Amino acid sequence: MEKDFDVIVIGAGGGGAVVAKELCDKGLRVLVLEAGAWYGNKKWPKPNSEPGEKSSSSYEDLSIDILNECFTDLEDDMNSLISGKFRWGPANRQKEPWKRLVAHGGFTWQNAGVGGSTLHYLGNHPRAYPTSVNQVWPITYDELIPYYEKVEQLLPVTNAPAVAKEDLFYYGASKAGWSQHDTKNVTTPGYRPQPNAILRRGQSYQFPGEGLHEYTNYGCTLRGHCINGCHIGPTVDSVAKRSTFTNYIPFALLTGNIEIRPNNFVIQVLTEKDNNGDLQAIGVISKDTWTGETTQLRADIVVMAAGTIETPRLWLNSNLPENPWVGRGLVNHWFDSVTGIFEESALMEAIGSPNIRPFSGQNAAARFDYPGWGVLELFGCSPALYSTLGYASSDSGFFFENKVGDKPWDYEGAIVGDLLKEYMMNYQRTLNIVIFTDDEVNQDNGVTLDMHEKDENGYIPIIRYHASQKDRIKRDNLATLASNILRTAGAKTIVRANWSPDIYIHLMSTMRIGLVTNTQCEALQVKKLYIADNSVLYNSLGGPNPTLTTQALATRTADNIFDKYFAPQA
Amino acid sequence: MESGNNNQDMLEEYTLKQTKATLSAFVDAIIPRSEELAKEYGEIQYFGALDLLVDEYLYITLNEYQPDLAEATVEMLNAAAQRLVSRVENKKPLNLSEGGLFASLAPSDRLLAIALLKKYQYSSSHLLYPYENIFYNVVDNLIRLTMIGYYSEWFGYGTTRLLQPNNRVLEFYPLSWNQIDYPGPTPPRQLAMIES
Ligand SMILES: Cc1cc2nc3c(=O)[nH]c(=O)nc-3n(C[C@H](O)[C@H](O)[C@H](O)COP(=O)(O)OP(=O)(O)OC[C@H]3O[C@@H](n4cnc5c(N)ncnc54)[C@H](O)[C@@H]3O)c2cc1C
Repeated sequence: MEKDFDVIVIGAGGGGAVVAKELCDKGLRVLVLEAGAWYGNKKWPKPNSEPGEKSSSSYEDLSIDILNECFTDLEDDMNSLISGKFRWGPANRQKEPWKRLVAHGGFTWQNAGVGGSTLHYLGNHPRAYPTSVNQVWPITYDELIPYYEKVEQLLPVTNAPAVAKEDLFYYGASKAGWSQHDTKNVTTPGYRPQPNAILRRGQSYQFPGEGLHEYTNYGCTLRGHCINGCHIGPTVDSVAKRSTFTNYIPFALLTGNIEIRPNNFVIQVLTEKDNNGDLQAIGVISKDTWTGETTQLRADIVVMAAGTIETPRLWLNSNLPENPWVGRGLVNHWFDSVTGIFEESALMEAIGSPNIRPFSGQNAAARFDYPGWGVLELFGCSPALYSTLGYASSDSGFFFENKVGDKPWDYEGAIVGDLLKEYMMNYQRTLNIVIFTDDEVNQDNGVTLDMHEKDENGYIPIIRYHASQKDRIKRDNLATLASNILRTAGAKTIVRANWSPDIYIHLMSTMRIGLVTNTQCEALQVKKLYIADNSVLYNSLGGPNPTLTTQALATRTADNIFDKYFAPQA
Repeated sequence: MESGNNNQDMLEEYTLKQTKATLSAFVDAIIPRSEELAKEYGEIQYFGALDLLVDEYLYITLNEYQPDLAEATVEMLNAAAQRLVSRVENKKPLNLSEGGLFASLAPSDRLLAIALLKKYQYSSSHLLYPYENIFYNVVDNLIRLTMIGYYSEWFGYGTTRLLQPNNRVLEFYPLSWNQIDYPGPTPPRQLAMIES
């Protein structure tokens, strides 16, 4: 059978969009198959209620008007895990979400759709800690740097602006004796403005597409809906928050070398033996999520970028060769949340304003890095998600079940009842800090298949994760650090949630480089099959948000694919 | 045949009643009506999850996730209440009603029943049998969903709130936003005009 494309990329999320665009730049013909909807494209004017067309390959198809209609800023509409536009499920919202089994009442927070989980991500793009890569990964930090630089320039990454909540965070951190970082390669503890991929008002940026694409009036207006889907900008490709559907996807469309088919769930990777008897990828079988129709497609190269759960699930469902690390080694930064509630007088003293207004400004515009422990990230957003993150999720049960003793917080556990209402009455004067732990890889953690239960796309995944004692200590240290910053800033009451490890936001490293793939990110056991999403990360990076490193690796992987299989022979 | 059908109907009605009563009791325990807060901070702080019909939100959301999940959840909450009572760990007298045992517990005891369930989440235990599979995914999510139902825009869908998500229209901003001084998305989303 003849090939249909040079390369098929599975998934148009944080990593897939990047590898696709980079390959298009090299002149290869690329097909991207994406399980979810496409928001902001004329071929799908009503992406959640009508099937629309089959594919798009033209930059002219993009439409900011459609995006504005789709992204409503409303939390249940956008972010309900069950029926939200950003959910792990098919575009058709009359259908149930796709099922996963997560231990202990947890959940995985991932999106299907062009843009993937960057649809609702917060746009934060720090680099990994050098000490978590050097002599740990099978490649060095120095090898990553040129790729970091390339991605940082394209996104682009800049320092986030401060409003009240950031001012208060800096005030507390500085008063507690910490100093501010001024480097991208962090080796010591300190705070800094968030390096993020959110265009600032007036920031100059060279949009690709010569001449045509000189916009004015773009950039973030600080209205606080990063997490509910940013649609602020004159065009899709100039939207302020740089989800991949606003940059890599449009830029790939401009090359004329790409076709993107949303609403296409890949259910099998096809392989055959080559002349040497080695297994190689030759294509995929994909299923239309509206009609259930399946299609077989062939290409020279297949790239898996379906995310940390679906990439191993697809490997297993395709019966690809056994490997003790497929699906194994899952890390998730074992998050936690520490919330400080302030009185007006304390705020007046700290920042000269009676309110923090956590719903205004970018959702996570300041951070504290602590190599060896992990990260503190300032967080604020609209009230429903805010209340659930700060008060609804706890591994220690309800607040009244726990004695905090001499710990630096006042309450631990889920806050409910009158106390919840009282704390939410103080929403305007609340500062939340989210914790990312530098958690360890453990081969017992990860994704397996439930061999008793299938959905229309194959056996469903079971996700398991147990934190280690070391992780627990690091995380407690971070919670103490966060509490100290809040207290020093003047917080009257501090609540530590103590999240369950089964809340998955930063999912990583279930198909680790060097173990499932070689150092070029090509599968060890299946030639011409590459991996370009968070699953290929070797570890949790020391705590930093994963997407930049995944995108740097995906850029490098595009080079590797071209050099090995397409470059003209010398 | 006929009597069988009637039984079926009766049973269904009974179950429905219990479902409503139990989910209402749940959301009421998480976000109560508060006379105290109203006295101290103004009338608006009286209102709670029952006033914003969050039990309906819970019901439709659970069943959207998986058919009959709401009913199974109710059974599980009642089983937890049963265990609490049989261990004599409830602190306040029961207020028995046909809404089921969970709904008969005082709100603070409902929280104890939920806490009892949570404690057993890491060990496979007789306490949970035969609800382990449901429990596996639900209890913490119930608390989260209650808060989402209450503090998101959902109640503001007004007369369209029970429709498919694609067909809902925001008619007003929910009262919970006034309680917490959240101005809503800026500039305000277009609200639907309602004929009065
Ligand atoms: C609330 C929130 C905030 C976050 N904020 C940040 C942040 O600020 N910075 C950061 O670095 N990270 C952040 N993250 C994490 C970030 O979203 C991920 O790191 C990133 O999106 C991962 O990229 P990925 O390519 O691995 O997966 P995804 O972006 O999830 O992309 C995978 C894509 O593959 C598609 N897919 C899956 N299976 C198939 C299949 N079989 N066939 C076809 N398509 C398929 C999916 O629909 C999806 O579009 C955040 C996450 C959450 C939940």
